[in-house]
Amino acid sequence: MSTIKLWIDPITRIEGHLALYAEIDSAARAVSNAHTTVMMFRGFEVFLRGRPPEDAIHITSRTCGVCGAAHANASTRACDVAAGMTPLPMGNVLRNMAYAMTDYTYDHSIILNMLEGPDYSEAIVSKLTPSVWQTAQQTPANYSSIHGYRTIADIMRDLNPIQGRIWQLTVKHQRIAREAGVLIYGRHSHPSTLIPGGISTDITLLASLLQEYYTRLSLLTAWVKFVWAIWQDLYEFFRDHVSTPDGQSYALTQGKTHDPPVLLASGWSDDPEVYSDIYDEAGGDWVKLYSLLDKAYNARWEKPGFAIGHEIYSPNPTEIQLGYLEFADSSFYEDWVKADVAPPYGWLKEDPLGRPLAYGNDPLFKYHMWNRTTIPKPGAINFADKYTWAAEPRLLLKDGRIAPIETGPIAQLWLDTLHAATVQVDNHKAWESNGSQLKVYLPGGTVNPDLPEGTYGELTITWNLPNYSTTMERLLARAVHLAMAVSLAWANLLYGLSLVNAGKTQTSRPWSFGRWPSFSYSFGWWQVPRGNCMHWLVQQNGRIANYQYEAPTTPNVSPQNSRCTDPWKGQCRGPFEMSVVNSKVTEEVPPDQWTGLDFVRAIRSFDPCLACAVHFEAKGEGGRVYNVIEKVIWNACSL
Amino acid sequence: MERLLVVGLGNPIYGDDGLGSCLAQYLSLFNPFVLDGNAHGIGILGNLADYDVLVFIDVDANLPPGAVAVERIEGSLTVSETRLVDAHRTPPSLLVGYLRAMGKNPKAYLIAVGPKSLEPLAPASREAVEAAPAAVSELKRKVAEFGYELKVEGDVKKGVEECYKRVLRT
Repeated sequence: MSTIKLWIDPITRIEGHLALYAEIDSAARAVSNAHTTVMMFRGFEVFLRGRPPEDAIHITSRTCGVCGAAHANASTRACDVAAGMTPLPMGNVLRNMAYAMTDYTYDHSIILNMLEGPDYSEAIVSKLTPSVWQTAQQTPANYSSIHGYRTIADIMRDLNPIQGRIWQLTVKHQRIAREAGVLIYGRHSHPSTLIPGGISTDITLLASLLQEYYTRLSLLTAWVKFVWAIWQDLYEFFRDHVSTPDGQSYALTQGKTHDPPVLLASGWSDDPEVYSDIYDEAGGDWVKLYSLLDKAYNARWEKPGFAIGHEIYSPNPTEIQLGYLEFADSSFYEDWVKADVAPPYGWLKEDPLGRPLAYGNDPLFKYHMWNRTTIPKPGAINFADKYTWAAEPRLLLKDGRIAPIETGPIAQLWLDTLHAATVQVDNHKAWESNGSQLKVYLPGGTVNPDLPEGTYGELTITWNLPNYSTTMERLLARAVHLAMAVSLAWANLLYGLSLVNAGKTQTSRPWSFGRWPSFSYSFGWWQVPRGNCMHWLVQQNGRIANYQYEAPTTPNVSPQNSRCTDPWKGQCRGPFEMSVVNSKVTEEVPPDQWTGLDFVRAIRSFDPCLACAVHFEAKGEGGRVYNVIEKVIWNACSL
Repeated sequence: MERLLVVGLGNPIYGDDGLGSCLAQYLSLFNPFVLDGNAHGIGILGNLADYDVLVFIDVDANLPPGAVAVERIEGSLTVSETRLVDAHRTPPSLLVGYLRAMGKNPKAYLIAVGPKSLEPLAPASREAVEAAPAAVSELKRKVAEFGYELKVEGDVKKGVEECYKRVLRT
């Protein structure tokens, strides 16, 4: 046996800020040690202090050039509460409709087909796992009637980057999704219209806006049926026909995370009426509004909560967040508690309702996000000490246990399923669940000339609650969730049309610059394509006193520390590292040629948002693009 | 008539890198066939797929500061050549390479300016601003070859400078 050491840097396909170091036992093809490290300091929390809270919506949006709207939406929810006001129903509908397109339909599509898809393309599969490629050529696709591909190999061929048809169709359809979102947001990827208590979209021609949205949504509905069918087929192929070196099903075991699973979701798509009504109920009192948040979050059209295995620990965000802590044991930050650096308003001990943070545990309450002060402490990577800029979120439970956290589309579907709920608007049932199974409904009559006719009819997608989060389960969940987002877009559009018919087109509460309570604090959670976007805001007299936030990937990319208790004591690291530790090498090339395919598949399945996730690498000499100089004006500046 | 699109590329936060973007912002005021591609990378690929002729405006670091060149983008990419699909760092040649690998075959040109400085938060250099009118003249000549008339009103250099002021809040 020998140990193979792999450094994969960068691991992601847009910009490289995430690296993986893994040690592998070459005989067992098993990982003996793994660390992920993030080499970028964000630091927005440092310069947000002292700014007007509403600016945070637009500043935090700049955290990411892909999912800026994720941060903008989480920040908007935090500002809604701290300002004491929520939008009118049409405002909520427009916020939801825009988000369903950018980010969900846009982002899920590019992640699946352009950033994760290449890992399952002919170019990669045939090169690194030729026996899988051979099986794929002989395996008929189960969903040919929808996507039109005869074999799994046909799908893999069209997943080839750039030249593959699926890749090219994604280029087209992600654009259509962005267009639909921009009708409402004004721009992508940083929405210009989100404001506390409303949305500033010009609705002078609202009927036309909804019509233009409708035409795009119809095309995209066919698109998500096509994409789901492809990934359902790939999932079933890797479940039934591909094994790991120890004889297990690839889809059911490879890239598994914690046991028991620990899944956190925020939900999204505010119920237009409930989220509006809580403003009236609260009468402008932000504390009262805070007390109604669990009701509003649970009324969302996708559901919040923290699940341990197949049990909901709590569906209530205000309760869960009492134990939401972040540590800096292994990350490049000064431990603000040990350094005794309190926020400007002193250590906060309770939430707005008087419930003790961290259930009264001292000093753990000082690690709550409302008490965090970001103090960067750069250093060299030392896996025995500090090795990443990613901090360590952990969840303190009521019974004193401390858990790691996983989030993403699989977490959202997991919670939706456990909630056993139904979401329906008029005759459109968007989805329903019963505790172990989820069904997503997509309407028919969705003609899209670029796609096979099998995508034009009605479709019911069934998702069974898995036992664990694995690489392929996460990918499948993303594909199902893409369908979910579009189904909820229909629900919101229908609701919006009914509001238009009723003449209820006003969107926003009368908010104006500087209208803030003397002191208020809140949080805003919003489920997004890459995970759970969570913002915590403390404001004094219209200025940010403290602002802390979790990017969607933050819990997933957490480094190791020793804070967790049983049953997670030996698993006290984020899902990225767990998924690598639980991956076997399936590459059919000699160990000195291993590329880490299974590890990058595991990590990319989370859709890392560390300034995104460089991807496809295949070496060869097949072509070249070059510039031929036709003319040069050497002294142009003196003309 | 062939379908033609002018695309300005670059990020004005990085000094002269943003010249193409700023020129496109200015020229798009008068010309519907000009698009500001900014630093969107492959995000604009979908906007380029339906054209017969693409004329990019961008900086070319191989040129001396302030020089203007008209370049023709030749060649193609295949999947086996693709070493790295990088969604942000996409110069015109790579965008055209992707398009050709996708089965599109636009004629593609680059009106290039030699940059002086690519430092973050620096305004455009004097050399780059002074070169802007010549770049526009070359662009005008190039699009005219395909039957398009590039309209330009006011002072191009001032338009570029104001673009940088807008972006950099100076």
